[in-house]
Parts: sequence; C-alpha cells; structure tokens
Amino acid sequence: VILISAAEIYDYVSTVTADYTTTTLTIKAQGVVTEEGQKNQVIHLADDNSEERITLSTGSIFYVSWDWAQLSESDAGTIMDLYHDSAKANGMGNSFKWTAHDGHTYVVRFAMPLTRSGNALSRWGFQGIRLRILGRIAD
Amino acid sequence: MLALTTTQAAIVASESKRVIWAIYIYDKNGVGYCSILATLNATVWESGTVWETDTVWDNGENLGTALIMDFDGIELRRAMAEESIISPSEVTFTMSAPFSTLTYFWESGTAWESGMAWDNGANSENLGTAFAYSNFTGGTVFIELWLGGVGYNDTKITSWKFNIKKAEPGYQKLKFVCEDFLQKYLRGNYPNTRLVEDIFPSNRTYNADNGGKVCVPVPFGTAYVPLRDVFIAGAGYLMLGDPANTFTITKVRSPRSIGGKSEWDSGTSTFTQSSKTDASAVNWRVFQAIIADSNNDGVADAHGFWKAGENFYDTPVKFTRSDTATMTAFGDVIEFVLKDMGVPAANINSATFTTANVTYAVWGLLCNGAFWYQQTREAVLAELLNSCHSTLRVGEKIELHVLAKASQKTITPAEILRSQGIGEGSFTYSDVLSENYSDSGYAEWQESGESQDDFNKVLIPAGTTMVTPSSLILRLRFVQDSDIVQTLTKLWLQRKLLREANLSFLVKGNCCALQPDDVITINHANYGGTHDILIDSMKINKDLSIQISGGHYGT
Repeated sequence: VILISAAEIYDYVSTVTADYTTTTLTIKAQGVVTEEGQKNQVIHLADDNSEERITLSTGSIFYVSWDWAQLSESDAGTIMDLYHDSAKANGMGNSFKWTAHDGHTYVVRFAMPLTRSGNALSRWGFQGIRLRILGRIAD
Repeated sequence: MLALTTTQAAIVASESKRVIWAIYIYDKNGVGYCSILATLNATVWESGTVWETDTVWDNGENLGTALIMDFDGIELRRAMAEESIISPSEVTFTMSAPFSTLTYFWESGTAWESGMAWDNGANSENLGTAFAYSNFTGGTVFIELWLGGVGYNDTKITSWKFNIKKAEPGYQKLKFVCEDFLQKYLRGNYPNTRLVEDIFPSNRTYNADNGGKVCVPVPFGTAYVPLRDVFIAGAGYLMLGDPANTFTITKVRSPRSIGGKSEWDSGTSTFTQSSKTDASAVNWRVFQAIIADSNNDGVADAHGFWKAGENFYDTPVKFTRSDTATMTAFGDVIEFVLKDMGVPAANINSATFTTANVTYAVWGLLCNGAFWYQQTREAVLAELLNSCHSTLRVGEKIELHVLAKASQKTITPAEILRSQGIGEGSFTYSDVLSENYSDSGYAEWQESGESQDDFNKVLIPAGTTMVTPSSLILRLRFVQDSDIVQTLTKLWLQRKLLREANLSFLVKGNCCALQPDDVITINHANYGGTHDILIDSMKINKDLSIQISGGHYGT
C-alpha cells in the first residue's frame, strides 16, 4: 500500500464482494488520476438567504477517472475483454476488483462507454476511463 | 398539524437534517420487502432495542437496502368534504425488478423449514427470489419518514399506509401506483345492506323518490325514516333489519305525499314485530303497524299501508336499534360507518374520534337519523364530515379532526424556497376568477320528532349578506338543532363561495409537521402581505422540500 494521502478513499468505503472475482484489474493508471468524491445532499435556499441542508445519505460517492494514453497489445486486450465479456465486467453491469493508484484494492464498476483509439504504431489507448467505487477489499 | 415530541420538533426545526425514507412493501399474500433510502446510523439493531425516547426498533424489522429507483416523495391531499369527495393521497415509485438484491424481511417467530440455519440475531437474508408482479396489486406499502440532526439520532417523525393500486412491469422495473388505504373502502355504495325488495321479491312496485335504492336501514340514535313495505307470504311487512338487534318503534306516520299528516305512536297503537326468513334462509326483523280498521268497527286491526295506483309508498317510522340507539356522537357514528365499510379497527385511531366527540359535546351536536337508501360511500362519508365540520386524515391509521381556523404556522421568507441563487422564489398567487357572485346558500334539516325524508330549507349567509343566493344546498339530515345547522352551513358555504385565490409555494422541510386542512399564515410584502391559507395539498419531496398548495378565503 502506497500512502499517498493521510486519508484515502479506502478510509470511507466499506468492505464488499465483487460480482466478478476471478481476476483483479491491475493495469496501472496513466497520467493524471482524478478522484471525485461527493455526498448525496441537497441544499435548500430560502427567500431570506437562509439554508436548510438535507443529507439523504451519509455514505460517500467516489469516482476515479484517467486516460490510458498507450497500452501494450496485451493490456489493451485485457481491458477490452474485461469490459465486453458478459461474464466479467459486462460493461457497467458487474462489479470487479481493481488495484488502484494508492495500492488498495477496490470493488468498482465501469461508469462510461469504453472508447479506444490507436496511433500509427498500433498502440492502443483508452480515453475517459471512469470507475465508480462501490467498496473495498480489506487489506 | 402533527403533534411532535420535543425531540422530534427539535430535529424538524434543525437547519441540517438527515432524511431517511423507509419503505415496506407487502404483496397481497403478505410477503414483505423492505427498502431504506439511506443507511440508518447503525446497520442492525438488536430485537427490542430502545433508541432514544420515542424510537423503538421493532422486533423483526430489517434494514436491508433494496432498489427503489425514483421515489420522489408523497402527495397528501385534504378530504374536501364540501365537494362531496374524499380526495386520495398518493405515491408513485419504481422498484428495480432483478430481485437478486431485494431482501425479504420476516416477522419474528417465523418457522423455518427443517434444517435451515438462521443466524442468531439475523432477521433478514438476501434470498434472491424471483417474484410475480401480479402479486403486488392489492398489496400494501408503509412509508416512514425518519429524520436525524446534529446531536440527534434518527427518529421516526410520521408514517403513512398506502394501498397498491397498480404494479406495472417493464424493462426489469415495477412501477407502483399507490393511494391512501382508505380509498379502497370508499368504492361502492353504503349501506352495504341489500335492497329490501331484493330480499323479499314480489310483484310490488314502489312510489318514492328513492324508489330503486331503499335498503335495510342503518340507524343512529333515534331515526325517523321511511321503511319499505314488502310482501311476505300474503301480507305486507315493514323491514327493520338484523334480528340480532332489538328494535324499538315509537311512531309511524303517513307518507308526506299522501294528504295531511297522520301519526300513530306506540302508546295508542300496536306495532307487531316478527322475524321472517328469506329464500336464502336468512332471518329478518320486520313489523306490521296495526293502524288500519279492516272491518269498519272503529278499532284498528290490520297492517296499514299507502298506495297510489299500483305503487306502494314507504312508511316513515320512528325507531331505534339496540346497538346504535345511544350512538349520537358523530365520532362514534363515523367510526361505525368506517368499520361497516370494511376498515379494520386496527387501522382507526379511535383516540382522535373520542377527542372530536368532546368538541361535539361542547357544541351540543347530536346525530339522529338513518341511512335508508344507498348512496356512494364517498358521498356518505362527506355528508357525515360536513355534519360535524370535521375531516379525516389518513396516515398509518385514520384520524378524525375537527376543522379549526387557528393558524398553525406563520410562513415567512425564512421558509419559502427559491431554486436559483439570485431571483424570485417559488411563491405564486393567482386570483380565482369566479363568475359566481353568490353570497348565500341553503341548509336542509329537520326538527326533532319529524320524519327525515323531507326537510326544512333555510337560506344562510356565507358572510353577512344574503343578497345573491346560490342554489347550493347542504343537507344535514342527522342534525336537528337549528342553531348548529346554521353554523355548520355557514362554515360549509365559506369553503364553497368565499375562495379568493389559489396559492402555491415550496417550503423547507421544517414545515413537515403541517398537514392538509391546516390553516397557515403567510406574512411578507413579497407575498402580498398577510393572509391565511387553507392547505389543500402537500407534496413532501424526497429531499424534504414541501410543495404547498392552498386557498385564501375572504369574509
């Protein structure tokens, strides 16, 4: 585990079991990795500018996103297969295990259509990877 | 307005709240499914754990999360008895149909199959069972509103019980359309009793305004209403009802349509009761009024009846029935009628009916009369509510409340919401463009001791003048006090004639203790000054913002 912050997503999600457990996605993210966290809350604004803050759920909602600029033929195939195999991630349908940039393993699902593009060297990359964090695997 | 405890009131008033909707769905076979639209502070409570004052986690309840997809709140409406309707409260939501994540919850003490291991302390398990959507129609949905706040644990504020009208499948979802559970009991006619001529059929025809609908009467207190004269084994008899009750007959009079009034009382005439068996082997209590002189000897010796051409008249009879003879408080009468319509006693908050009766007693309001012809159940209930200036509120149980004009809350800019950072808020005011300039209407009622099939008609002002009477009529056939009749009619006419504007606005969740039929005061120059509003409907949204619609009334 690489401690990249005194507090990590791992600290705010609970332990869950993935739908697809045979393998873990371990291909490292590339470039800038963005963690997006929020809570299910609504802020009511009144005519006198006062607020009423409504928390619909105390649990945090996390997304992680990045681009894979270039991947080996093998890795590109692994991701393609993970996404499209109905017995694996099945698009956004099944959760799976993912070893994250912080070294922890999370249970995630894809939260985007899978977009692949290549260059003249036949190296493939995936743009706009976005995962919804559903929970963690205890470590 | 909801009566909140100190803790509940503090949470409701808090600026920062946790909102939790708990939804329990029972299909028509009693199988339960549960959804909590948030995780309560702790996941599983031990059986019987008491969590702060007023919060008890019932044995057997389960906190499994299920898949309610687009629940956006519930819509509550006031009964609107002045329009002869009992408006439904409604809720609509969609549940995901792949039941792999739905959780059954079981009542405590459920017997399991031999060999099935059930963990100690666990009261739910994800069974992943397939379902039949057709089982949900006719089922029940309980919805609980829980709030928590800074320094306060999650606390149940209120709850509602709905009947599932429709559960429609489509694309692995079920769309539930639900209405408050009272509504299903309002379909059909009342009294439930059969038409008298259907019980003892013959070739007789009848001459009466309600000729086709006269049924076995349901009296309260002392009734003086027309009873049908049926032909049984060669003779005529007036139908009283179930022989399990004792009937006391004190007067019979000639039908109003025949000549002058003639009346016979039990002191000087004989009313001979007997039991007769119909073709279905059911016994009925009937009687003959021995008021006719069949041999011209000056002594009444035969059952008297009235007939014009081939048509028989219904005979007005003053009588009581043993189980309802002393039932003269409207709260008791409405509770009786609700139960008679099929509402289970467990779904009636009897304490509120008792409280309302105290108010009626202070007014001197008594109920005497009978339902003797069939009407729609909705009209029956609206008539009773109009007769006691009261309303029904349907939550988890049915409550009876006397209508009151006292304002329950003042709404200011601190409550009314706006949807954008800068600009106008959600308040709207629209004048009622009425072409009816009437200022008065009529009450129909009858004095004590007179038969209740025709009525005195008196003009009553909605305000102070009676310059332009309307044709509106409030029939108060159960009320015999003329002063009370005037007051009840005036209050009814105010709702019918004096509405000046419709108002609508979105408010904070700190108004969630308000209820339809409450009066509130709105107060600020941005809202046209100060006016009282009668709440017609409240849509309590999932995020606890509340859309209030109501009316402002003139004087």
